[in-house]
Amino acid sequence: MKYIIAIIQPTRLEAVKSALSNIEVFRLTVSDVQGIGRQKGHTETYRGHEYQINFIRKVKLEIAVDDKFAEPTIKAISQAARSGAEGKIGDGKIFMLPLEDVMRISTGERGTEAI
Amino acid sequence: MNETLQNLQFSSNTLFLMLGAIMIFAMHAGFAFLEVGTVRQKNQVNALVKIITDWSISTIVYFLIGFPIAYGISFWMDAGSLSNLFNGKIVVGARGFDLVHCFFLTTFAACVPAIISGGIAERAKFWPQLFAGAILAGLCYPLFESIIWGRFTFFQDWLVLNTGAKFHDYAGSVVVHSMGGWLALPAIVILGQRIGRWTNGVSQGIPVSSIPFLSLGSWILAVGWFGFNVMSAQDIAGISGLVAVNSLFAMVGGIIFALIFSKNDPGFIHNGALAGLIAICSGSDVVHPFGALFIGGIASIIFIFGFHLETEKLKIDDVLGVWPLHGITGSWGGIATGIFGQKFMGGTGDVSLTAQIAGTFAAIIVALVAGTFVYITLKHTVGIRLSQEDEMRGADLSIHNIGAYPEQDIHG
Repeated sequence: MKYIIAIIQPTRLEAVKSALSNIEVFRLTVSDVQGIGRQKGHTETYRGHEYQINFIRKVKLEIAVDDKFAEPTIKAISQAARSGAEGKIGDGKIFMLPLEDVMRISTGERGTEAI
Repeated sequence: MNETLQNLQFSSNTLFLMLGAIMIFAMHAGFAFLEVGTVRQKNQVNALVKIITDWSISTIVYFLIGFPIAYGISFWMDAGSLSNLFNGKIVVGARGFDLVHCFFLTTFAACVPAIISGGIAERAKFWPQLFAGAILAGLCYPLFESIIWGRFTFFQDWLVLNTGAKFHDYAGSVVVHSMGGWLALPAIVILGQRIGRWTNGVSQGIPVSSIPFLSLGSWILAVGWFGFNVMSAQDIAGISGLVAVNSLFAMVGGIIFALIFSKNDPGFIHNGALAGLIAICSGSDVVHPFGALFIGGIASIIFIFGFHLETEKLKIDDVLGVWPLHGITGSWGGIATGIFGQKFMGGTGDVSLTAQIAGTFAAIIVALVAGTFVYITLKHTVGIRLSQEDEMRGADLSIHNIGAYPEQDIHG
């Protein structure tokens, strides 16, 4: 089992979600996050004062999958999350971690049964 | 027939002043939302409470003390006599004219604490400020009002003797706005900067909480302003479409010049509308609409550069920019009347630049002296500033025990 964490552009969330549905990955957790990466920040101005915005808003997906779903999942995310055909700085990253165990709280099922 | 006509005259004038009073009363919602949007979220509730309570205290003190000082009319009589009071005399059928006249002028007096409130936001103690507002709206403002508009004519007589004209302030660029703005300046300086505004000599911008709310505030003020200016005729027979259109042109001048000179900054654009309206109050009945456009436009430039000078160079932490907005552009309005009101500028020509300058500076001096006296006295007696800890928590929780969005604060 793998635990996949993807940081993507908020505007790509819908596309990523439907790409995941196409490969039958329906279970995911989504959160709003902020971070600093290669994209750097931007400046905002109000009444002449400049505000440095260092942290940029992103969306974080967390998905637990069986081993056989792991590669299709990261492939689906990486294709759907890319801005344009070339992709851009700021499109995000995908992390894949080994997953030791899972338990479904309602039934007590463990491991792949519970995913 | 004559009696019917007189009835109609009294009732129309009462209605006229009441509609004006309501429109300016509505402007206080504008003051509230301009401040709500410009302060941080932790001080929004305090902004709302300050404006509505300042209003209420101003109403009482102006009714009891301010209006009697300025116009020599007091209301210590039975209700039957009150409803027949007309310019201090009992005139049967007067329809409560003096009462509604007092209501109308209360809305002006209450602008003074509302203006100061925006400058001292996010760090002032509540009760001392409410008390200061009562003194300023009930005593200081009416004293100046009495020598410009009211019963003490020595200053205006002296100006007529020496310059050939009275100091002309139709709707209060100077009497109301510059008075409020220049009273706020010592208050803001004596109170000091908000924690975190400057660290190690570096200017730290403190972000505003809501541009939609502050824009709404600006809109409400701008709409109500047509009552402020047009109904300043105080008599339906004296109503003037010139005043309405001049106000409109000064406002759009303010907006357009702010758009250009601030490089499309929403804060300056929405305050630019107000700068234009503040500057045109004084001369709205004597200048040409194209003159009004430039009075408003120049007011906007003064505000943009004045705000930068004040907050970045002089390091005065004026949260809403009330000194450059109401103070300096109000003074500009007083002087501009003496320039754009001249015949060769397309005006009616009944004004004197010297008289305008004299009246404008008189207001500045009165405001600086009174503001300094009131705020220094309060500082050294009851204190005017929140404790450091209370300021960090925010005025909402420290003073009112509730934040603007309680649902967000409650966890499990």
